[in-house]
Amino acid sequence: MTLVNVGIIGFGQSKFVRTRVDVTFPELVREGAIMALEDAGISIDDVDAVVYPLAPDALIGVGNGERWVIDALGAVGKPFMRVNNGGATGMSAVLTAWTHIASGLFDVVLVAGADRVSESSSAQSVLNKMWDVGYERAMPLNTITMLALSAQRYMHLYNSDETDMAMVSVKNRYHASLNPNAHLQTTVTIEEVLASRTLAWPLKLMDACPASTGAAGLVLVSERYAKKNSLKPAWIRGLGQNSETYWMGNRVGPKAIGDHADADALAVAFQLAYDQAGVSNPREQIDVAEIYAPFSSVELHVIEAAGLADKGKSPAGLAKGDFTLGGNGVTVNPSGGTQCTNPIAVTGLVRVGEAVNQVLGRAGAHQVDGARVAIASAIGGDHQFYSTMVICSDLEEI
Amino acid sequence: MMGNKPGVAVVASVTIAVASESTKSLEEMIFEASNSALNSLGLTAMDIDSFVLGGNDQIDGRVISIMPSTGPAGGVGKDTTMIASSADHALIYGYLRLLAGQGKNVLVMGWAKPSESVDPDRAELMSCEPFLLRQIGMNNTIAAALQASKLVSQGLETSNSTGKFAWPLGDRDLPARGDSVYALVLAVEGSFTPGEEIAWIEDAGWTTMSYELGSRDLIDFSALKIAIEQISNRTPHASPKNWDAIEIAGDSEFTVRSVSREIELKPGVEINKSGALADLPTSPFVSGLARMVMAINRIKHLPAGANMVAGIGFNGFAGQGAAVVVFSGSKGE
Repeated sequence: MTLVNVGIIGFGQSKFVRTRVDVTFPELVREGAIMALEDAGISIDDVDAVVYPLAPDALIGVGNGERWVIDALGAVGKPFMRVNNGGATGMSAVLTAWTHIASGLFDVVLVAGADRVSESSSAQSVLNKMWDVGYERAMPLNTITMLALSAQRYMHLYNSDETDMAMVSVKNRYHASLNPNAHLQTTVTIEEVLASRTLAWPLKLMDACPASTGAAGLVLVSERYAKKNSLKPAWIRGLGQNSETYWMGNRVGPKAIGDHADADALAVAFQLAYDQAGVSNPREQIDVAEIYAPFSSVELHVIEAAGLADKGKSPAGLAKGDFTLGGNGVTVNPSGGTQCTNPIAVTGLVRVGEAVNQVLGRAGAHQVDGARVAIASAIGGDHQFYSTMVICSDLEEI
Repeated sequence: MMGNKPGVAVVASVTIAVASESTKSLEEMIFEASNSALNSLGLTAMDIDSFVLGGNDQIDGRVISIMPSTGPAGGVGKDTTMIASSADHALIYGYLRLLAGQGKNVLVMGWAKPSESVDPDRAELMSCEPFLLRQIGMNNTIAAALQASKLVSQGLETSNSTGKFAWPLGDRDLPARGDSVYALVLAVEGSFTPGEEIAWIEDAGWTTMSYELGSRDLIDFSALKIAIEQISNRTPHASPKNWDAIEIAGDSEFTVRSVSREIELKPGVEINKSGALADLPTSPFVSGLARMVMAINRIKHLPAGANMVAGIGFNGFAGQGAAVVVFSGSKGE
């Protein structure tokens, strides 16, 4: 497939925190829209269409929450649609916006939204309800126990241990300490991670993401618009999506159709994006990765699905300083990633925005020197929906 | 603007719509509709490049509706996206994907199965913001009544419908509620055998207006007019004056009557030939897609010389959003 050139000219994100009591939900969404538009140097009047990411309505307590925020977004009178692909929503919405422009119908599309996960009295109770009522809900699964099962499987299959996961937490917390927008900004040591309380073995508190509140937005433009207005966007050079089975039971045991230790369906999505972008050797051609990993254990197999390490080998890379700012090879989650900031509806969008900042050389203290090619990814559902993207500062060969 | 874009056709269309389905789960209905659409083409899910789903978490009673529905729709191992603002938006997004060159075909589905819900009215109430509308008990029926009452105040005749639910709406004025699932396969010209197409998609327009009922004129149908204007500007031959039939998913029959008067139509246009709102079970989230599917199916039954049918859907309270998709029996005419 020949990819239509679509650029990103604006990215805005709030400072992510646990709770915001100073704004209503629409006001929070508005923050994301305004910051993105200001960064793009345009007004809402210049926007042809709006795509809105919102994952479970249950987390904000208002059904069809998209209708409530229309006015705050400035989307009145514009083509508007909402995407809900679970945790992948933020990035699926960017892909949806890309589609709007690539269709030839639109030149400028705004993607903006927000989440306030902590407003739900128990996000994990809500998320337990995403499993089927008859079988797996009753286990009881939630996103923590589901990923604990995955982490156990990874440890078993690749002779990994809890220290490997702790190394991810230490790296990401260090990166987040350099990111003024990150939710968790304090550094931690391996000993502190290992000593933090167990949520569901082997996952501990410091392996886990926070429940974040905040907003973010992106502005996408057609190549025609970028040229006409002499803009220098970051370019989307490849994109992919793929879906996995719903059932946890189909990922374990001798008849598993996918191993819960790995993220093979994500690897397929990465390959789709790589093929479009001309990436044949990601370890050499990619400078920075903003990958969706809400728990330290997830980052291990996402690094591998992205082709940045062989299966089971990402811990060894981490141990010798790979994936860390100033370290060897591809820097992974220089923003601190999802593990340090997780406003679910826009988490995937922030991954793309951080990748954009990196290739445009404006990531501040967490900038990867000379970054030109970045990848971003997101995961939704029970590790069921995967989105990927390759972003580059130019349209030259990667 | 669309001159170089490929033609996109609907090549399969399946409707399952009943007042209440008590023997099959929503997932089973989704599988049945998807499978029927694929079987009609001799395809399997593996032949489909991507899946676009239109479901509503609250009505479905699934916290993330795309999760349990992707498998039965056939989307495992594929690019699957849920468009959650309305099922008619899912159809439009499937169309955009093909215009954008994202594959040769897409399976679009939309559904609502309120019979599985303990209290669908409660789900509608929870779609209100918590500060004002939820406190006053707003829902789709009341919003439709507000719209209809203003239409009556402006001279629209009342109906003879009995059993008033909310003045001036009676039992024959409101859409029947029921369980329904729709599956469509869209395909790019050249990827299917000529003659397989049920209808060509000429263009689509959609927009959404203010959420605040108090800040809108509930009877100016501005969302609909903007959506139509998008189509008329891009694809003049698909403008209303060339429509031969319309299928309208109004919030009430008052809406249907008003819409057909608000749009500049040629004389003799068929309006809701597929049936009255009260006779066709649906649910607000999916009613627009339902009428679009009826519009698609009307194509083959148009009188001689007629060629173009529009499907019109609304979403949100009292037509906050509107979507229009124009179909024809022959491409670009």
